[in-house]
Amino acid sequence: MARYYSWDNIISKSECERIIDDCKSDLGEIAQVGNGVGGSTVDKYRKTNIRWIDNDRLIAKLIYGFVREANDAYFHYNITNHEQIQFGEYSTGGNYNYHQDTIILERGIEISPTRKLSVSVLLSDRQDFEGGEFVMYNGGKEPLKPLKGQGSIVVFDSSDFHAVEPVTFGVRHSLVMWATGPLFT
Amino acid sequence: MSRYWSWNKIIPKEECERIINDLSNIEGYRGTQEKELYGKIYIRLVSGNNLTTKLIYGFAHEANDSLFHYEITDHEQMQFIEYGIDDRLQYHQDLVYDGLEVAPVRKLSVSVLLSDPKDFEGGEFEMYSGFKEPTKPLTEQGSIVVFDSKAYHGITPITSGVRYSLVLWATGPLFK
Repeated sequence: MARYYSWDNIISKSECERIIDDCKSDLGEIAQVGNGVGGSTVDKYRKTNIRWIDNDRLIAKLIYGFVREANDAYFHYNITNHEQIQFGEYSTGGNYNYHQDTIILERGIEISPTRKLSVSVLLSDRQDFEGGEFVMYNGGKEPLKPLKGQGSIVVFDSSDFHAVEPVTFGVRHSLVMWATGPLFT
Repeated sequence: MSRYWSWNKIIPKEECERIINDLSNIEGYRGTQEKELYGKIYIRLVSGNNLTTKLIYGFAHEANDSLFHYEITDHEQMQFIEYGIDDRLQYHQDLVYDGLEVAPVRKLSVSVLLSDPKDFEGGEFEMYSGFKEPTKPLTEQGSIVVFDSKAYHGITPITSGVRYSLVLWATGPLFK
């Protein structure tokens, strides 16, 4: 089975709302990635609006802290840094098909630093959207659904396939970040 | 994209047939767990001193030196696997995480197709690739593929004939 480390509802509702407001304000336009239908490869498998959050913001420190804690407790990987946090907005029809976060170049080559741990945070209240489930591929078995409710966090190996199912109603906000380090040995 | 290192038809046909004949003498057992997912493949364990084991472990090391650069220190017993009709392997990982794994763990998996594809139908080796089509790096007799043991892979159901393959896991300390 896929392996992950998670916290259920660790960030309070009011704090989640504050983070959403903060990420939405004064940071410029949200960029749409893909249209979920056709055109480029990206368009076919992804439709989200995203915004990059500066590393010096407290939210980046907080989320990186959770990744370090999961790594100390569970993964024990050599982690040395992280990429910028991505704030994601999935409105109705938004989705992100099964993919790995690890960047793999032609002929299977990876470059260092590489993404080793991925973290996903559900900021929205489940009453505010339908669908939009975060799922981890689990072979021939039912996918895993480790993100329980608003303010929950999951940390997983960046090479594990995962997806966000289509949002059928409302808007779903999330944060994702990748912790990086030297290539796996 | 799927990450793997492979050789196409690197073992000659006669040598593949010799290996099949040689290893068929070993007493094996049927893997019967979760039959609907994994069929009832017949598994024979090959001694670490067998020259074919040495050969295949050598390929694992060469792939590791070329692409993966993992710390590899040993290997598990090589398996000679016979797939009959309806046998299959649902997508799975060879390195199964439960959060409590202790070293050594499986880090690289090697799969060798010994049979001539004319001698069976179905039985395709596939690597799961998410929203993309699965990758099929093992389609010809005497071909070898080495991949990360964390990668999901499977064998589609055999619809006729018999398919023989070798599987070996190279092991080492936990991934860092």
